[in-house]
Amino acid sequence: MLDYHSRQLAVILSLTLLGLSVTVEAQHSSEVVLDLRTLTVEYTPALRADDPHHQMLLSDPSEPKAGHVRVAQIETDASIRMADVEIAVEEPDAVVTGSSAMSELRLARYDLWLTGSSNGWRLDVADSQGGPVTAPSSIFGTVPLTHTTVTASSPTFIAGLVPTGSDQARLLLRWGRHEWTTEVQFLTPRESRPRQRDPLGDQRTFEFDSAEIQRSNRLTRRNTATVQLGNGPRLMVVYGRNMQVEDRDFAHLVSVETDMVVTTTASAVIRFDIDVPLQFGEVTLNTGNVGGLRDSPGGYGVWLRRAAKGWRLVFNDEPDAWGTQHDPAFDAGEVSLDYSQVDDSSRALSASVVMTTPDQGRFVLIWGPHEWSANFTVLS
Amino acid sequence: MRCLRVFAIVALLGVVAQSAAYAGAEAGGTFYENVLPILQENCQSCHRPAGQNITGIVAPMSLMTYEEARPWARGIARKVETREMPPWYASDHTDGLFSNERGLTDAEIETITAWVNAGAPAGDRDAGPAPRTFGDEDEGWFLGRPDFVVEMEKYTIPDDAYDLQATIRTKIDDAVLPDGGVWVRGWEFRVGETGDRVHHFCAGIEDKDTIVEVDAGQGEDEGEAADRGGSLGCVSSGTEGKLLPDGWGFFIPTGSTARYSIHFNKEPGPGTSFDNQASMGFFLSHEPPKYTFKNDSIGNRGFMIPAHRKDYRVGAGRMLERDTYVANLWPHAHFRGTAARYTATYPDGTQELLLDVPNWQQHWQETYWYKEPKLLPKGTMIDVSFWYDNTSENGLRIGFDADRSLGHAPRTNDEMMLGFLGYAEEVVPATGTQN
Repeated sequence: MLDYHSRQLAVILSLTLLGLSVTVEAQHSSEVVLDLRTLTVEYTPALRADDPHHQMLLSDPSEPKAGHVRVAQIETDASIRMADVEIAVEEPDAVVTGSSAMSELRLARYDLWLTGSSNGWRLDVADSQGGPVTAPSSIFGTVPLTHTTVTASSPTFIAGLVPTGSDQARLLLRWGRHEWTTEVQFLTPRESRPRQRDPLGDQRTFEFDSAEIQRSNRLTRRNTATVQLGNGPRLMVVYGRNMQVEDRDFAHLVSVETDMVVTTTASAVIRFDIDVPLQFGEVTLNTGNVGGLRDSPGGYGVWLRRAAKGWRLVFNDEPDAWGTQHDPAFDAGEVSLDYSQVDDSSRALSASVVMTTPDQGRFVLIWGPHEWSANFTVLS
Repeated sequence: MRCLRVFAIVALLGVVAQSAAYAGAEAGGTFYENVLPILQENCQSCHRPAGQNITGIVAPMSLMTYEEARPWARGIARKVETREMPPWYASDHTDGLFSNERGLTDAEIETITAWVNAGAPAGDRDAGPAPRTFGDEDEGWFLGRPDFVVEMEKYTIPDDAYDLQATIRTKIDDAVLPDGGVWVRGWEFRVGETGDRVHHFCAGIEDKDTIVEVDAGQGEDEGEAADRGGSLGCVSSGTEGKLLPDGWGFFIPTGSTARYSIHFNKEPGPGTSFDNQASMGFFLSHEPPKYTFKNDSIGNRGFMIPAHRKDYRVGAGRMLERDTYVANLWPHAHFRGTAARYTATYPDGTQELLLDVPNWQQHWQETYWYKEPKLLPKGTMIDVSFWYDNTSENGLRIGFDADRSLGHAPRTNDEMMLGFLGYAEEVVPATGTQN
C-alpha cells in the first residue's frame, strides 16, 4: 500500500507527465471555411529543420534526397481533390429537422507524409495513424509538390492554407529554406439542405447557448481563414463569399481612383481578428482596440487602398462596417502591399493569413489575377 | 350678528377662492377645454383600456377621461416636456415625410405643462369635445372591419417559459381565397389580450408546401423568413396597422397558410402560464393592383459585438437592381441597439439620409411609413447602420449580460442588425404571383 505522501507524489507525477504530453501534442493548425466546407491542416511545431533525423532529407535545396517524414494531418468535411487524389466525404443527410444542422457533418482525416525521391518532392496521403511512426501504413494517394527555395529560413515545419477562390486553397509547406505548394480543390458545393417544417409550427425556448447559431449565421454568408498556434494565439480573417470577378464590385476594384479605398456593395468589410499584437512594417496592430472581442482581443476592418504607386492595406477600428462604409476617422494604420499578378483571372475574392516562420506570417488578398500580401511579425 | 359676520367672511373667502380657481384655469387651462383635445389627437390611440389598443401590445394606462388622466398628470407633463411621449425617435430632418409621425407642437406641450402647474383642473365637461371612439363599432379593428380574419390556433405559453419563439401555422380557409387567390390592400395584426408579454409578432403567407431550402446550419429568423418572400412584416410596441399605398397589393393564393411567428417574453414561475391567440384581419383589393408589395431586410448576420463596448457600429447594405418604390422602413435590433440610420447613395454619387433614429428604443420599434412611396432608382445603394451599447451600465438598466460578445441570433438577449424595407419594384401582370 502506498502511503498518503507517495500517493500524492504519484498524482503530481502523473499530472506533470500529462501536462508534458499535452504540451508535446499541442498541434498548430491552419483552417479555411469556404461556403460552409471546412478544410484543416494540422502540424506539430516540434519538427525542427536542424534535427539530425531530417537533415538528410532537407540538406540539398536543389535536389531532394530519398526519405519521408510525417509532417501534418489534413481533415475535411467535404470532398476534395489534390492533384489526382480525391478524398470523398459523404454529404450529410438530405433532410434535417430542427434549426441546427451543423453537427451532422462527416469528416475525413489523413496523414500527410513529405517524401523526397529522385523524381522530386511529393506528399503521400496515408491513413491516419496515432503515436510516433516512421513509415506510412497505407498510402491512399500521391500528390506532386511544387518546390522553391526561400531566403527566410523556417527552423520548424509550418503548414498553411491560402484560399485562392470560392472552391480552392493553396496548401503551403515551409521547412528550413524549402517551400512546397499544391492546390486543394473542393469538389462539390455544400448542398442546401431541405428542411421539413412542421405544418403546425414549432417552438424554441431560448435557454441555450446560442454561440453555435451565431457561428452558423456568420458562416452562411462569410468565409474564414484561421491560423491557430497551438494553445497560443489565433489569427482569423473573415470575408464575404462569392465575390466574383463578374460582379460590379470587381469592376470598382479595377477603376478605383488613387487614394480611395476599394468598396464592396455586396459584403461587409474584411474582418481580421487577432489574439496577439502584430507588427506590419511600421504599424503595430494592437489588441484591445474597439473591435476586440474577449476571446480574440483585437478586431479590425481591412480595406484596400489604391496608392499613387501600388496598393496599401488599411486597418480600421470598425470591423463590422459594410463594404461601402469606410470611415477614415476610425483608421488605425496602413502599410504598403506587395503586388503581383497571375494568369488565373477567374478567382473570387479571398483573404487569409498564413505563417511563414514560427513567429512571422503573411496577410494575403486574392481577387481575379491580383494578389496582394503584407508580411507581419507576431509580437508576444 | 356674530353669525352674520362669520357668514360674510366665509362668503368672501369663497368668492376669493373661486376667483383664484378661475384665474388658475384661465392661466393654465382645463382638462376638458384645453388638454383633452390634445390627448384625443395624439395619445388615446394607444392609451385606451387594455385589449382595445393598437395591436394589443402597448399603453399601460388609459387616458380617455379626466378621472383616468388626473393621477398621471405630473408624469404626462414630464414625458411630453422631454418629448419621450408621444414616441417618435426619428430626427427632425425627416419631419413631415412619414404618415405615422407623432409629436406635439411647442404650444401643445406648453398647454399640458401649464395645466399641470395650475393643479390639473377638470374644468367644464361641456366645454370639451365628445369622447373619441376607436373602431369599437368594428370590433376593435383599428383600420375598420376587415374583409376576412385569420385566427391563430390558441397557443399556451407554459409556466417555465421566459423567452420563447413560437411559429404557429394556420391554414387559411379556401372559402375566403376563391378563384386561385385574392389581392389584399392591407392587413392588421392583433396579438390578442396578452400583448404585454409579446416582444414582437411577425407574420407571413406561405404556400402549402412546408419544405424550404436553407443553407446548411442556418436557422431562420424574421429577416430570413422575410427574405424567402410572403412576409407581411412585423409589429411590436408602437406599431400601428396601415393599409398599403393606393395601387399596391399583396397576393394570397388559394391553399395558403398563415405563419404567425411570435416572440413571447415573461417572467417564469408558477401561475405565469397564459394562452395567446393572435389574429390578422385582411382588407381586399377590389381592383388588380399596379404594384406588388414585398417586405425583406438589409441585414448583417456576421457581426460580433464586443463585450463592454459603447457606440459599436454594425453595417449592412444593398444595391438596388431595379427602380424601387419604398413604402416603409423598419430598423430592427434587440436590447443593445441605440441608434439606426438608412442612407441612400444615388447612381450619380449624391447621398440622402433616408432615416436617422439617434435615440433608437428597443421597446418602440417604429415602422416608418412614407406618406408617398419614395422612388429610389436602379443602382441606388442603401446603407443601413446600427449602433450598439454593450456596456455594464446599459446592461444594468435594460437587463442583459455585458460580459458577452455576441452576434446574430434569435434570443432577445442576442442581437440583430436588420433594416427592413417594405417596397414594390415594378408593375405586375394582372394575375399576380409572389416570390
